[in-house]
Amino acid sequence: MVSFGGLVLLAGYVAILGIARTNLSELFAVLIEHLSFGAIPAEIDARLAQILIHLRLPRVAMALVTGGSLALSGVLMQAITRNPLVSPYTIGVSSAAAFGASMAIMFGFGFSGLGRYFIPFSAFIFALGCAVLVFSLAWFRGMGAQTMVLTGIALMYLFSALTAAIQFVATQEQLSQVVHWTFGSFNGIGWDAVGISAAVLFIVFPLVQGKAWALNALISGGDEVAQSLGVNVMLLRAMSTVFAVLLAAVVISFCGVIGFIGLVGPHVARLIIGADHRWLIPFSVICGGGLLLIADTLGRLLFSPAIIPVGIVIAFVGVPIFLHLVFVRRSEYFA
Amino acid sequence: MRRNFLAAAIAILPAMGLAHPAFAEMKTITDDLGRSVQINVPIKRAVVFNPYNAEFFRGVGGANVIVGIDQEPADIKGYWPNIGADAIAGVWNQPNFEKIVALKPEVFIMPRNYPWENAAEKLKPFNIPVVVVTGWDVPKLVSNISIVGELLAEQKRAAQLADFYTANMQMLRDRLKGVKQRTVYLEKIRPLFTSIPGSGWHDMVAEGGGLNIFADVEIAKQPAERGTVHEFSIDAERILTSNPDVIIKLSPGQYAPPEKAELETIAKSVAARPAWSTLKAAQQNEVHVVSFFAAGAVSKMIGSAYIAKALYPDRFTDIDPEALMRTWLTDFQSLPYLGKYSLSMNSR
Amino acid sequence: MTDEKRLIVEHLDFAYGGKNILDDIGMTLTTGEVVALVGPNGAGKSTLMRCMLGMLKPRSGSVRILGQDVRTLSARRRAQLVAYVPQASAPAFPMSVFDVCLLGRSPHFSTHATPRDHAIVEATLGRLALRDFAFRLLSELSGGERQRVMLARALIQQTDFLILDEPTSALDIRNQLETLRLIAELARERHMTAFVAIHDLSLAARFSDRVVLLKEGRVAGIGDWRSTLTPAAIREVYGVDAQVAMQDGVPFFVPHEIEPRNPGTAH
Repeated sequence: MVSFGGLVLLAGYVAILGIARTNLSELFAVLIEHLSFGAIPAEIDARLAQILIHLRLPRVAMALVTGGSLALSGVLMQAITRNPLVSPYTIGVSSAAAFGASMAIMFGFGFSGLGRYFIPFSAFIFALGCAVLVFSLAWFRGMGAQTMVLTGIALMYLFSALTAAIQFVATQEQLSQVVHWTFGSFNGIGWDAVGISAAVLFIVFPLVQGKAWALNALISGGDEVAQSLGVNVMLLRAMSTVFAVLLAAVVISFCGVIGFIGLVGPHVARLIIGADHRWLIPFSVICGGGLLLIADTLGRLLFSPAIIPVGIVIAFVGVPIFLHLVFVRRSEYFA
Repeated sequence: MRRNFLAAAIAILPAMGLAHPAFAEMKTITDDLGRSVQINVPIKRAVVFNPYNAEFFRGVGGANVIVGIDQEPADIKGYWPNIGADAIAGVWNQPNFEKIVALKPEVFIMPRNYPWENAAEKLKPFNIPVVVVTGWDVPKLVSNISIVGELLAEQKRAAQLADFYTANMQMLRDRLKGVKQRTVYLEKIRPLFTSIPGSGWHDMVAEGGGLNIFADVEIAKQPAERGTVHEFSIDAERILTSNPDVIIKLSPGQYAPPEKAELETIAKSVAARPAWSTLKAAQQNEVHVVSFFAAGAVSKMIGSAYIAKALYPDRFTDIDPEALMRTWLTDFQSLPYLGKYSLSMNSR
Repeated sequence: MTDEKRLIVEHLDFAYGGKNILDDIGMTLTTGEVVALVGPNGAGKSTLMRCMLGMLKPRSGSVRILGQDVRTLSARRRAQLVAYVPQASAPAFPMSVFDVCLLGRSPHFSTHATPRDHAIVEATLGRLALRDFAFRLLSELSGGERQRVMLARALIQQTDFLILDEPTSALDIRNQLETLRLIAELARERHMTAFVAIHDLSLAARFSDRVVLLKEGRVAGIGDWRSTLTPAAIREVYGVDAQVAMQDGVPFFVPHEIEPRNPGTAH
């Protein structure tokens, strides 16, 4: 609760930072105006209000939702595989999503009309296909954790190579769209993307939270212990896989590939609050959202007006935090 | 939806205080993609992305209309003296929309391979229309220049700029008619990288009357790691077996021309590569170095002229590519010509 | 009532990949008894336990708990009736001992643990002398400590049946004795049935009411240890000559020198 409040404050604070100067009360006034559908008009410059509503806030909201979704996706994947190295990126889901988006672009779906939703849809289908491939290979062939991660990394390279190959035959127009997917950025994010991603997160989150005990059983004792505690492990895995892929693929399909947060977000959250999923699930969402928001804000402000894509900045922000936690907080974490 | 919005936008434009001079005129502009954009012309403030587009604006008399550009033209040192660092509005695929809004342009210009659809959507609430102008598209050069001319209500200057390109290109074609083609190896700034069919740089060799020794390479049949049509990694042995008549080497280039000594060093180092001394081009001093900046200017017309002159000097005794560059800079870009951008080993 | 509180295995066959693992197993576990499951490696002990837990689907036959087939019980209901500790289970991520133990209550509450659940965890940790470890991470503990935590977690489940697969394999002799005595005590106190796979025949005989001797997927003997763990039966099942002795009322088994398994390849 406290951390959630902190996140709201952080979001409010970074939302007032930018090229157009504003302050919290103006931001608040704009929010009130829109939440009341104009019944309580904000007495501020119309242009500033437009900047906040159409440019600044969707970006802030998308950073929160994307960070939260990717971190939660990582938590789920790590729990059901009992493997700390698994994330949407390391099992190839992110690259598969980028490839799916590229394919849709190559087949002529643009950003306009229904095509703008077909691209994310295609991204999702490829992401799901990749996850099902990796997980089913792992379970039905009885693969160990390392083999699974290796398979995932192999697929990641395969999809990256395929995307690169596509760029090769793409026209100039298609190329610029394909490039957009291969590295993560919140530039040009609109409320529709925020709405869809947030809806997925808000629907999935309580369902996942309801499985906190089952996930705890799985990570602390394995399949048999979880089964003996009344967990339908097959169902839990299937459900978690779909949710994890859905969370990751939806945000990736709007923002492009953001690699770091899905792997390290869960670990940062775990190092701070522990592995108990009752707390880890909400906290990883908060932690992932906060990390990505800080990263995107730095990317937006540091070299303004040039914007450094968040996919790059997150490594600069996340790695020091992660290393700090590893060295300082709990040396027994990786025992 | 879009039309309704445009109507509403037009209705509130005067109310928003974006007042225009009395002679301003509402016009429907058809952009490079055939989109219709209604706008008051002449425009007074524009954010222009892509170096070619920015040059078109300046060439058509809109130097003071450009209030913002992207990073790519801004990276050319000294080339945009009127545009400060605070007028850079992002990189080509990452426009900083807050910056663009803060620059208060009447229009945002982007080529069709940039994310213009997203930009149009994000700038819609701010009544900043996006007009697609694709300056790099040489076959559509005249129509793209005329779009800029309409936006600035400078049709005459637009025609002059288009004519500067088309007339000189026509001149090259006329004079190269029936010529016995000489073979050329065009080397990019990186050693052993060339350009192949599908690239503007390959076309430049062809327009200069040369035969690119790598003209037979089909990019689709090449492994991806060899690069793109613009930047293609070659097999060095091919140079020796093809034994080109002329080597054209591009040097790193900015608006400020390279030192003569620098060009000489580059020319000598190309000729002195192991085993290359046996090449015809090296023995006959047919190594020509031209600044990347100059060769690419005016949609590579300057580069074509340079190659034509290097290959067939007797047909172009009265033509000096450097003079064309001077005209481009002084007449169309309002910048001083600072010195030679090229060096031929046989002209010393 | 006591009649119903039974776990009945009838004509249980289990095959994996065309290979018979269990063959016509039949037995009845009744309230309050400790039954030791003994047999050589690969006899099918763990498979039998998994079948009894409903985790594996038998080819034929049935396992019934309180009169109902274990495979038709919901996973949650089953977890309220039977607790299980597998041979080895390592935590994937560091959870505290207390949180792991609280998991034992999860089949009984809907979403939140009640103060009563917390009290049960504390009491059980106290009984297993694990209270000092409550807020340590499971990953920090030794193998033996971890094994006792997993037993605590199963006891906290407060089920009628407890199935333990070699619960003392990582324990020192003092902890072996303490743990098995505790299981026997709790079985009597709570009228709980414990089914314990165990390799040490001396411990099996000492702490169990009955012994099930398993050989190549079949029941080779069932009943009081004196009637099942005879020298003849041990020779038959393990291929080892052993002497059975008693000292101060405690049985112990002394195996003799053995023959090489494959005389043909010995030299």
